[in-house]
Amino acid sequence: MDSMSRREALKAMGLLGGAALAAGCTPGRIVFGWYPTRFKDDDELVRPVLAALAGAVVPGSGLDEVSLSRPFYDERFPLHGYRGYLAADLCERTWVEFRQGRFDLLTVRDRVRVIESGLSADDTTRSLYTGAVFLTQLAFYSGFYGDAGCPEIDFDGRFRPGPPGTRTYPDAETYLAEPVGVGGNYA
Amino acid sequence: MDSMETDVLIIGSGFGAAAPAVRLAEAGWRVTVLEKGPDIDAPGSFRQTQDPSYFLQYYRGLTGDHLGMTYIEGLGGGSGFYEMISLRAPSLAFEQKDRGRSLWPATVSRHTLDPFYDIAEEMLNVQQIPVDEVPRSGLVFSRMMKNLGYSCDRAAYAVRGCLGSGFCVSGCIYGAKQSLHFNYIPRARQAGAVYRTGIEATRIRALTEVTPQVSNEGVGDARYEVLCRDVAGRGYMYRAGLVILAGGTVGTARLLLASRQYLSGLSAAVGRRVAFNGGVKTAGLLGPDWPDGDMFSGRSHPGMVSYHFIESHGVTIQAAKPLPLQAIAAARLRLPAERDRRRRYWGADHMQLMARYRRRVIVLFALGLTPPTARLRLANGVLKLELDVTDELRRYHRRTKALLTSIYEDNGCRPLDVEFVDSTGNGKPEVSFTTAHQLGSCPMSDSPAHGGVDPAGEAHGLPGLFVTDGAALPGSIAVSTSLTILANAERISEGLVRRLTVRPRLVVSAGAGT
Repeated sequence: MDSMSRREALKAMGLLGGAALAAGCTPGRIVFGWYPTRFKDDDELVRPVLAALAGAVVPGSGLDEVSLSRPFYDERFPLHGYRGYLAADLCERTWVEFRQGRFDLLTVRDRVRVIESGLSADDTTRSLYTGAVFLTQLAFYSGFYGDAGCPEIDFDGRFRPGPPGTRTYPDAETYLAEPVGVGGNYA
Repeated sequence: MDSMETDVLIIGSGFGAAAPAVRLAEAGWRVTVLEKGPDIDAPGSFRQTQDPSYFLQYYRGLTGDHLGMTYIEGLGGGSGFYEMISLRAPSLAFEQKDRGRSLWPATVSRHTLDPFYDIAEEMLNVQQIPVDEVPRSGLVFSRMMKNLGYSCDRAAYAVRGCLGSGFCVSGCIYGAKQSLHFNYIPRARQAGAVYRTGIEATRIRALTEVTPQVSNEGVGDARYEVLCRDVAGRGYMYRAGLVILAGGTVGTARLLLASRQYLSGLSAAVGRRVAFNGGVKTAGLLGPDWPDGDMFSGRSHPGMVSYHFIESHGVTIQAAKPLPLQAIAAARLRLPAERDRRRRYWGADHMQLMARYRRRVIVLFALGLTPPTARLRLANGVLKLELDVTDELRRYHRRTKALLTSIYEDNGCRPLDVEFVDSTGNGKPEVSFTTAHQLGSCPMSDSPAHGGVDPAGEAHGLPGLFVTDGAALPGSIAVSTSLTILANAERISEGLVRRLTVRPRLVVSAGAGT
């Protein structure tokens, strides 16, 4: 794990101090933007953190980070306005767990630990992390919205006709149970 | 504000609207159909995609603590996006009792609806699925039932030349699904009906200057004005001799409840006893000896329905093939817990499960004759959905889930841990339901005390105001609702055409029609 600079450590400490002041007041921190400004202003900082989050939620996806973090940048989805706070909180929890503040530098296993801590936190934080996991999965398993599909689950994204018989079994009759209806309907 | 007049104003354009639009237009009436959602040029408007923004153009939801409802806003209503399964309601559905009285009017039964089912099936080209088109997941489900000595039937669908693309719920781009765009809507247009999309009816007012009267010949002078707005916020006023509500169980309830102060005599029963078809959903992993299913090939509904437990448990059992977006948006799926830990619904555990999703996961669900214990009510202009989770409903849920679980286990398959989620991804209570089969927000009844409309579909105490959609059906039917909604709308329409030998005489006040 990379060591932190003194400046980064102080910033992280400041984050923790802020967290202590706002303990039990996560909604206030979000609403009033009480988290480090750098997470509001510096997308170069935020994007890798969110990509690392997505990489832990759908590990081994092999997708680029732009795709992985897409749901957090999509105005149609609810976490669009909270990505800075989410990234700050992930880094804060990283500091608490590992005494360094770069969530994106953790192994997948350690990122899982940090995400678990968010999912076990106060109600607001839990909702935020639950939503982040949910949106990441939605985006990933919908092929990041497009028609490309999702090779990891053998989903083509759109219909590609296969050879005859690929939709059913040639001995389909042998699978059928006794019917009780007429034309598919029960009296 | 533009003011317009028509003989018949139909609000909504789905299954409940289709029959009156055709039958009344063909009878020579001036028919106008208003649809809140966008126009749909089928099949050109449809896409094979899992893009949420596409679905959000048409899909709408209403969520309560224990019940969620999904419905469609768009020309043709749910017909463009349903799984095209088209089944008649079992006779038992019409024999249900609610608090000691018959839930359905005495004159509405499977027997009296059968001739109208015939008409609806002919219009939609409903056919039982051929054996060689049953998708693999349906065959696997059927074999599970067969192994246990249970019956299972091939289901019927509204389709011509199905290619089995598996995208029924995003709209059939091949035009194989016989949605209303290919039968009722063009036929109604041909007969002169005018369809207007992107227009929402917001209030109905009974015009009080003339005392409404009902006669054997017609609705006489009963008349209404309907306040509408389009997507740009422009206002319209329609005046009609006959107003037919067909905007779906949710839409019709919203409109009626919002109009209560202008509809003196509207039944207090509106929104009070809403049915939801008691859907209980489960998932399992196929055992090692089982052939593969296939979540992504073949029609969306995998072809088979079992009525084996309709008499004993009040449920039908079916398999399902949720596309990835549907599966992930609905539930946290986990591999079965092991001794040392509960598996995660995300991360590596989940990836491991989803890698097996297509071939080795089987989804079974039940639809049941659950009592109409949900409510729709307006609170500060916002429609709220509530469900009384009674002991009876808890028992139903527990018993039905145990039945489905036994089908997996007795076949050597492992039930998955399934936790349903709301639209934010947060877990729902153990006893919760989701449905697109909501019914009964303005139910038919023999007396005004128990429902909003009479068996002919006409609002108690409000002559000339009809309800022909799912709102009029008083109870759950344990199968998909589309065909029954359409058959009942055909029945009501036939009664209207037979009864209204006199055209409604519009009286338009001075200044209207600008």
